[in-house]
This record gives sequence, C-alpha cells and structure tokens, in this order.
Amino acid sequence: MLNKLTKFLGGINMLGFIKNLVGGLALISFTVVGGIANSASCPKSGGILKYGVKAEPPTYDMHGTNSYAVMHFVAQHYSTLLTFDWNKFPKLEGDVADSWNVSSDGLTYTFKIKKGIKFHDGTPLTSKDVKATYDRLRNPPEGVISVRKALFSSISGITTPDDNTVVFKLSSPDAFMLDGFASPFNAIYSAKDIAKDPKWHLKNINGTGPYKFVAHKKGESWKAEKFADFHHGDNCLDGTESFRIKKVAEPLIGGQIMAEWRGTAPPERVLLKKEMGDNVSFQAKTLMTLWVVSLNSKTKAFQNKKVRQAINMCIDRHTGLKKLAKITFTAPRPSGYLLYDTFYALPDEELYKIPGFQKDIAASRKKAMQMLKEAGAEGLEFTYSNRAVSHPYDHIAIWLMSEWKKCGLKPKMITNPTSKFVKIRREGGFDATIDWAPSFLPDPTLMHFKYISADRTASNYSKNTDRGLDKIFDAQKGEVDKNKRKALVHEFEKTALENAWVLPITYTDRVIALNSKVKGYVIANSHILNNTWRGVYLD
Amino acid sequence: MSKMNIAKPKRRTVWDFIKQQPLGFIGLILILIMSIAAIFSPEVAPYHPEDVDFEASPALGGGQPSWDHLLGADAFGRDILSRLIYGARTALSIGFLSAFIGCTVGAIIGTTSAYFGGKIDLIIQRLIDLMLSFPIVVLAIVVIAVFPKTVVAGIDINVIIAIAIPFTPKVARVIRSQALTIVTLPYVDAAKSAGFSATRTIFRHILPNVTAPYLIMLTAFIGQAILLEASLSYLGLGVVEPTPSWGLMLSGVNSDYYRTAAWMIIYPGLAVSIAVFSFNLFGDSLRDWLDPKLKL
Repeated sequence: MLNKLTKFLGGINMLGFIKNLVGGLALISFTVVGGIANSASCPKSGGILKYGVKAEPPTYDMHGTNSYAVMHFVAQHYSTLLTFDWNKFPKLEGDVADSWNVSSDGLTYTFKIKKGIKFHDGTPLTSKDVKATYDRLRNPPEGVISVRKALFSSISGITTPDDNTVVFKLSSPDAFMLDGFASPFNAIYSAKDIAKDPKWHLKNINGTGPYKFVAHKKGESWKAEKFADFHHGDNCLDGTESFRIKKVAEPLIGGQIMAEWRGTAPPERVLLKKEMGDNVSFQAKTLMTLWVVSLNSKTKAFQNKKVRQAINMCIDRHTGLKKLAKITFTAPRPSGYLLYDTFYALPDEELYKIPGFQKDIAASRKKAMQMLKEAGAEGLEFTYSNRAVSHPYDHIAIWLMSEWKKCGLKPKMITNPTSKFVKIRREGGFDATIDWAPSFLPDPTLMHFKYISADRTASNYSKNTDRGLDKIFDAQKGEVDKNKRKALVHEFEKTALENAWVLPITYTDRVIALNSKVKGYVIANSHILNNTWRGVYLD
Repeated sequence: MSKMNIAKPKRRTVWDFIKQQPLGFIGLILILIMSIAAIFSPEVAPYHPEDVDFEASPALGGGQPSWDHLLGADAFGRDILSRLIYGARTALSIGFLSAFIGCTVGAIIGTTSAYFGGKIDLIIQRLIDLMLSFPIVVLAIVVIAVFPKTVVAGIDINVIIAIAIPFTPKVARVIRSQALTIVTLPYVDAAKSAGFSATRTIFRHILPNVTAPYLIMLTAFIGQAILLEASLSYLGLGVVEPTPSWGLMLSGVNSDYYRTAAWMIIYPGLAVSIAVFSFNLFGDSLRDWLDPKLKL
C-alpha cells in the first residue's frame, strides 16, 4: 500500500500539483476569506476624547441619512458587517463578520458571524440581527427611510442557516455588493429592537460598537462611554465627548476640543500651526467628494454640445486648481468623475486629451471662443447658482466666474442659503449650478450613479437623458471581472466627459487637525469613514 | 403814517453752515467723497473689483499693501481699494434707498396717525409699539427670511426692504409728535373746512411742515442703514459674493485671515466706521442748524 502511494506521488510533479490545486480551488469558487479582525491594540488607555462637529445630527438612524454629523456622533455606537483596513484602504476586513465567501457565479454571499458579540443592552448578536438589519435596509417598513435602498436592490433573499451564518442571495451579479456591506451607514441593529418598533432607531441607540451612548444635549454636546464587552477590544478611551462647534481653529486652540474630523481650510491650518506649534498635528487625504458644475438641459444654449464643451474648456484646471487649493480645501489637480490614481479612474494621459482637460489653456480658450462663435453663443449670459457657504462654495464660484469671463462669457452668480439653493437645484431654476458627488468608496457604481439618465437617478440635476450611457453603466455594474469592468468604466468616463452635461471641477483635500495628544487615528478618503474611534488613544 | 420797519430774517448760506457747524461740514465733505467714488467707481478704482489674481493672494505669499495694491489684496488677490470704492456704491445705494423708503413711509404713517387721531391713531401707535419692541437687526433678519430675494439692477430689494421696515416705526413716532401740533393749526382747519380730502390735507399741508425732522432722520438713518447692511452681509444675509460690499469684506472669505493678513478686515471696517461717522456728524449738525431754538 505504502509502495503504491510512493509510486503515485513520485509520478507527479508536487509543485505543479499544489499550484493546480490552488488554482483549481480558486476557479471552483471565487472565495474571499477575511482574516480575523485586528487584535486589540491600545498603547495607552483612558481619558476622554473631546472633539467638535459642525452640524447637528438630524436623526439617530444610520440607515436613513447621508449626514456626516450622524456619522461623527453616532457611528461609534455601532458595528457593520464588514469594514475597511484603514491602513490598506479599500481592503476589506470583518467587523461582526469573521469570514465570508462569494460563490463563483457572484450570486451567493455567505458570512460567518463572530461568536460572543454583545449589544450594549447585553443581548447577544446573531445572524438574525444581520438579516433583520439588511431586511430593514433593502425593504424598509412604512415610515422608515432607507437612503441606500437602491444599492441593495439586487438582493433577492436573506437566510440564516444557524446563529452564526447569514446567506445573501442575489438576483444578478453586482460588482459593488461586497463593498456595500462595509458601508459605514449600514449599522447592525438588534432584531429585537426592530421588531419592537421599526422607528425605534430614529431616537434610540443600541449597538455593538466601541462606545456606548450616554447623553445628547441637542445643539450642544454628545457623550459616550467605553463599552467593556466590545468585540474588537481596541476601544482605548474611557469615553468620548463631542461638541457642536462653528469654527475649528478657536476651540482647538483654546483646548475645548482635541479634534475635528471633517477638515480644515488652508488659512485655518496656518493659524493653528502659528498658535499651537507642535501641539497640533495634521493628517491629509483626498476626500471622495467631487465638486461638479451641472448644466441645465432645459437651457437652450446648453442643448448645443459645443457650447457645453466650450464652457468646460475655458476653465484652467492645471494651474488654477493648484492655486485654489491654497485658499480652500479643494484638491490641486484635475480629475474626471472618478478619483484620480484609483483603480478604475481614467489615467491622466487619457483624461488630458478630453476637451476641457488639456494643459494648453491658451489654445483651449481660443478654441472655446471659436466654438461659442460658431454656436452663436459669443458672450453668453447664464446664471450660476451658488450655495451661501464660504468654503469651498464661494471660493469655487469666484474662481469659475473669473475663468469664464476670460472667454468673454457673462456668468451671473446667484447665491442663496442652503434650503433655497437646494430647492432651485431640485426644481431646475438655474442655468449652471454647483453640485457635488459624495462617495465613501472609489467604486464606479457609486460614483457614476449621478450621471446616468435623470429618469433613473434623482441626483442628476442636469435632467438630461443618455440611454447609451445608461447601457454602459449597467454593463459595468454587472461585470465582476475587474479588468473588463475597468474598460467599461473608462468608456463611460470618456463619453460623459465629452458630452459635458456635468463638468467635474475638483475633488476635495481633507486635512484634519488633531491635538498632538490624539494618537492612533488613521485618516480615510472620506469624512464619513473611520468614525468609530477604534484604536484612538490619548498620549 | 410811518412805515413799520420789520427786519427780514437773514438768509443763511452754506458758508454760515460751515462756520456754525464745522464738524457737520467735514461729514458732508466725506459724504461727497464717498458719493463721487461710488458714482465714478470704474474711473477711480485701479482694478475691477472681481478681478482674481491668485499671485496677489496672502495664501500664496502676496497681498500686502504695496504700490500695486495700495490697501493690499484679499484671499483671491482682488484689490481691496477697488473693492472698497465699488463697495461705496453698494453701501450708499442700499443706505440711501432704504433710509429714504423707511423715512418716507414712516412720515406718511406718522402724519396719517396724527391727522385722524382716535381709534386709528391708537391702533397705529400700538402696532408701532409692537415693531419697536424688536431689536432692529432681529426685525431685519425676520424680513429677509419672509420676503423672497429680488435683485433689480444689481440691487437686492430684499435687503433694502429689510433695512427700511425697522426704520419706519421710529420715524412714524417722531413725525407723529410733530404733526400733532400741526393738525391743530388754523390752516389745517381751513383746509378741512374747504372740503379738501384727507389725502390732500396730509400731503399738501402737513407733510411739508415736517420736512425738517424728516431730513434730519433721513441723514441719520443713512448711516444706520449702511451699518445695518454691513451687519446683514457680515451675517451672510445681505449682499453676497462676488458683489463688493464692506460688510461682506469683513466676513466670509476674508475672516479666515484676520490674524495673518489683518489689512483685509481693517480697511473695510474703517470704511464702515467713517461712513457712519460722516452721516451722523452731518445729521446732527443739520439738526442743530435747522432747529430754531438753537439758532445763533
């Protein structure tokens, strides 16, 4: 018997066998196995982290909002199914999930849930809580708002074979799905709380996150204390206390707060550095919020593609953005719709061939003026709707006005407070409007969703229709092969950028200021990410 | 029969005003300078107020007062002197129009209240009490929140109305007290006896006789209106970018630089102060000069 086995093994190439075995396994099932979450790491423990937030949370319900204020106050109380490795973003890692796999056809997602996780009220977390959470997200009961419902539309069913396994069945492959499970807004709620009252989470908090809710004084402060049974164990602080602030620099200099997570403008940084010296530290990353100008498809002049392109070609992105970035928190380089230097983004050499992105601004403007002349739109007058907020709205607007005037255009800036600005944008009462495309991931489905036909997305304020573009969007959404998807995404970018209904201006530079005592925080590409303060400690 | 020798009252000249009210004259000169700057802004200002020049921005190491920019440049490298000169247009147009509307409507309400008396007077005066109970800035903010924004010929009508309305009850109260003495005079009785309508009596016989307090309040309120416009713009409720406005220059984009590039807010602040000071000096002097009890 032994001889037979030896003969058999000797007859095959062992290295080749192992390679084939690994490859075969990979082919049989496209399996992603998440590692066990980072072990607890608290170089120092204790203390209260005090930080500022510039807005009030409109709700406690993470599922029903896009507000960063909710993230900055509430996210610390919850866990999600998956999360990101902040040092290797956007690499996924488990939060309440211990491991997961995706079937080769991309239609079944199976998650193993960690054992021993507890909610703040002491009840254990099981797969039933995950199911109840995602049922609420994709099919919210009456009166409950689920902002990201559409992103989970391809889920056809959720089952829980046992207390530690949850299975998601999809009706069609969805390239975004796995990342969607790591969305920081998809907090895991207790099935018991949801059953008690579907609206319970609008005003109450019971999660499994690192810090437990203590008190909220509306318009004033929010208190949280350490959750002793936190499943990752890396909640290093005794608690957190956050305050509503109007400006960042003064309370940081005065010591009322130790951090603000949204970002600071360049002049604030100069002031902080001058006043605090080594007692302040900064962390910077490009924020995945793209500032765009939407051109109204109802404006007659803009129905001519040449006019739209000419308006885009008058903007000197290559030198202007570098200078603009010195006075407000915009990024210093041109970008398409997707964040530059990310996997799916159009490479610079291709982007810079598209009208409006060329480096030679003199030639670009000359051609733009010629195009305007040919279209009978020389000295075109149009309104530009602006939001009455200094950073970066006024800054972008003043710069754009000056750029357009260099082509003989006559833009008229109309600035309104937020509520009126939003109403004008929604109702189409503008020729051109400042607009933004926020995202928490450099994912094409998330980031291109805004630019498809208006009857398919409420966030297309140009209100244009382009079925060709819709077709490319749907094709990339269902393509699970990364390289094939990339080619489709590039086709989408080029088509949309050349059509010029929505002009990408720039991404946002996120620079947060921290008191030097605050350690262990890793800035992410979005201010709605990494807001649970895991691993943060006071030195 | 000997002819009675009645001395004709001496006709007072501008020279008399200068001699009697030198501070008021200085105020008048400053007002004239501001008016000339406002009217001839394109000729007087060295740059267009909206011209962006990043190289002159303090954020990029420039912007200090120099021969290129006498009063320095703001965050966008826009010339501060030019924005102050063009800002005089905003300040004076909004200041004059809102003070004129507020004072005129107030004068009409005040004389009407005094003329009719009785229940009408009572109701008008209680409404005035109600309006006077609100601080002027609060009332202006309420008006801005209620009325839709309307821009005519580059002037924000909403801001003008917001500033004019708080002035109205103040003027109405003062003018009423003056008009109460006028309605008892024989010529008003004569007008009533002749069957003249209330409108004719008020506009032809009472209003012209309250011109002195009206003019004094008008000049005083122009200064207050300029200050209020600056306050509203500072709060983000008045004039908005890129329109040059002194109040806006104190806030918004420039407020970030108050420690590192103080010139950005010192000069607009000075402009507001000087304008208000000038109108107050002139208004007070005009009051003293027109008041018969104080005639020298």
